[in-house]
Amino acid sequence: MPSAIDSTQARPARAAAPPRPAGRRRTTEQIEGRSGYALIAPTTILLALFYLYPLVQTVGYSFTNWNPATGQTGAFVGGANFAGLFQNAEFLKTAGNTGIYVVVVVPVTMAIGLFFAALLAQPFRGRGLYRALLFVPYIAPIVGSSLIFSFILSPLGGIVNGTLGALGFAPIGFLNSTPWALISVIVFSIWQGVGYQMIIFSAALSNIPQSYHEAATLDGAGPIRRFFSISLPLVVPTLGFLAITGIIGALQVFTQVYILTGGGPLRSTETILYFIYQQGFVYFHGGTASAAAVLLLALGIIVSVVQLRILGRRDTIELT
Amino acid sequence: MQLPKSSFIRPGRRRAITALAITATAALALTGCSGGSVTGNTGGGGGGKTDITVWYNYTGPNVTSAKKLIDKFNSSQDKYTVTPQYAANSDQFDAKLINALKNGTGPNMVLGDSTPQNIGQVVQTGKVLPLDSLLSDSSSSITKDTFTEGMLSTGSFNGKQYTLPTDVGDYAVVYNKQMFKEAGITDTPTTWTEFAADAKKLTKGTTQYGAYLPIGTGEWPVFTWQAMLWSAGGEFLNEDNTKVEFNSPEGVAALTAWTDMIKDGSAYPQSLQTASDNNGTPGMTAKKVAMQINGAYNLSVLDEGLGDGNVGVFPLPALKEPAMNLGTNNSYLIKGTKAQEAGSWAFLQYWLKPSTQAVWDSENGFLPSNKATADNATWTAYLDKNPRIATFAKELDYAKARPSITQYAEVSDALSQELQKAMLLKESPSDALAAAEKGAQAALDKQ
Repeated sequence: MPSAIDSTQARPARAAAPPRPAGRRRTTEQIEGRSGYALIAPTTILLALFYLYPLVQTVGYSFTNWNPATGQTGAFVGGANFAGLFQNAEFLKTAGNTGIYVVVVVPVTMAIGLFFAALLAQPFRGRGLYRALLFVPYIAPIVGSSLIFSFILSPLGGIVNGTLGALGFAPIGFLNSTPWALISVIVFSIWQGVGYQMIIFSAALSNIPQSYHEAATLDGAGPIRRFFSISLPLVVPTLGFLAITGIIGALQVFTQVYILTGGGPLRSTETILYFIYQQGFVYFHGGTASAAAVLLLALGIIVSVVQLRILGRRDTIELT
Repeated sequence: MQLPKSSFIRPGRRRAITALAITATAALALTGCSGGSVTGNTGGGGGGKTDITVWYNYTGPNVTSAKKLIDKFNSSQDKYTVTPQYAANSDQFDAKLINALKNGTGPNMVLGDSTPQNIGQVVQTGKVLPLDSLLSDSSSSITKDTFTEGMLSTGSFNGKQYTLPTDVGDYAVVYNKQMFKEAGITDTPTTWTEFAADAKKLTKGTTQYGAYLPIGTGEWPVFTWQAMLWSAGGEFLNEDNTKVEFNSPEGVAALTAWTDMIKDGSAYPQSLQTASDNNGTPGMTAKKVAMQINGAYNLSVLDEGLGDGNVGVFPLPALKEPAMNLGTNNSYLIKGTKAQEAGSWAFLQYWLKPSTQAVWDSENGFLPSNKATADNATWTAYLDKNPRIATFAKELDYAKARPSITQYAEVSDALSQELQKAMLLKESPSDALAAAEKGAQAALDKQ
């Protein structure tokens, strides 16, 4: 979403009232503060309207038996929706699938992304091409690349099974048998996400002063030793950031599942978001869908807070 | 050593990104990221004509065909102007419509809703116009007798007629003629016993399977298996749709007919159901299977893959009696002013006329819902040219429809999950149906 701050033509809206000055005269800081508020107002208003308001509404709905189809606000049912989720075998299964997905996809994608970033840290001929090749899957629309993957992996005339067949192996139902379906979705997501991680890590690595590496080289450290003693510790903050965004992204996986496997076979690839979609838009169980969304939100917040703590930042997330 | 602060993302900025990402979780999860906007009808039309806004989810060639017929209606009279709008894809159509109706930005009419069994949710908004009095009006060109009982039932909820089927589709068995010749089969099977025997003859180890039977999630396996159940003499739900009936000896027989073919290796053992599956059509086009249950809309793909003249069609073989399931797209009117309601009704009558249906159905591969269309010259000429379509059309004589209940999606899902387990030989048919009954009954009892 483009930030209004970047727009040079943004007309500042009427600023929010600054805090009351302690003295009688406004300090420079307060004057600056006032224009600061004016600058962030458009974004804040849009965010409040399109993110915060639906969020609060969702939390509200999660305590009712709201049916999106009838349009009546449902009756208050307390925590019944949440209790129901934990007795719902389907929800537990989707939560488990999402858990496996997050635990595998996030660290593996980061490791591969960092590996390529380190490999491409030194300038050499064709470096830009390699970077571009790794980055393309990330910018391609997931719907399109998922469809391409489903053709490649098809047991009927797909390239992969064609190759396996030529080597004398029986065809594998990559998208329609367990555990292959989940493995295929995971492999797809890693392939799709590595480029982004690589670009961010590359930026972090290029921020490390060259003199550190030179000093270490003088002390006789080889490239591998230098990576573990210098590069890795210095990209920890970036690592933390990518871990948070990666986990939050992985918790919300939907598109590739919808296209590649449709959640099958036998629910083995259904994710939490798929469950929310089914409940909300297919069965019209607004309360259950909202409750699951709220749980997912809580999980996201917990993950972020824990990671920010681990990273030793004193930041707190303010969601009022 | 002290770590330098990462300068890539400034702390404040990072906080914003994190908060944003978190907020997005819930918001996106519930808004379903639908794009595009559709405007409803704003009332007054130009030149004294009443504007009628029609929503549909037709795409591609269907749109060209629909617009042509709508233009014809507009120029045939001077009271109404019908404006069609694409609202959303079929998955999100009802949800979007319900939202629009609640905000008063809905259309005057919906043409060809492709999930008729979910229209109950739309009816609950109270904005759908009941059609009973219009159908019994002496000036109306369509009545309840225009349709077969099975077709009419797709549009009734709680004993009232709210929608009418405007497009009809069913399925039959498509087969590879070349493979039949090689196996020395001259007559197409009419009973399931013959079908299973032919499938055995058509099987060559794991390089060629006799048949592909629907395995997978979603509605297709349920939709096709229901005809098997009816053919065995079973029922899906009881008379007033309050009790699950498919867990019966007839149900077990119908499912065993399928699983036996997987067991003896004459049916393809994996699911071919993905987003790009077309009911498993790739199984045929890759020359992996000789027969499969499929819809008429996939014939062109099959002809392309197997060569013209190599794809034959025969009716779904019977276990005990011939049976068929109906898929319909239904149309309905939205409450509005007197003039708007009259205009929508006039247009729906035009749309259901045999002369309109003959053009629309032959151009788009649908089957007619108006019984009288069978005698329309345009339609009969089309069937003479396309005998395979005639096979699909003939099955409509004895076709039944799925129950019109709001919980249908959940009932179907409970059954679909268990059908899949049985077809993957992870459960016996009787265990699968017992488990499905439990899930489906719980869904039925919910409201």
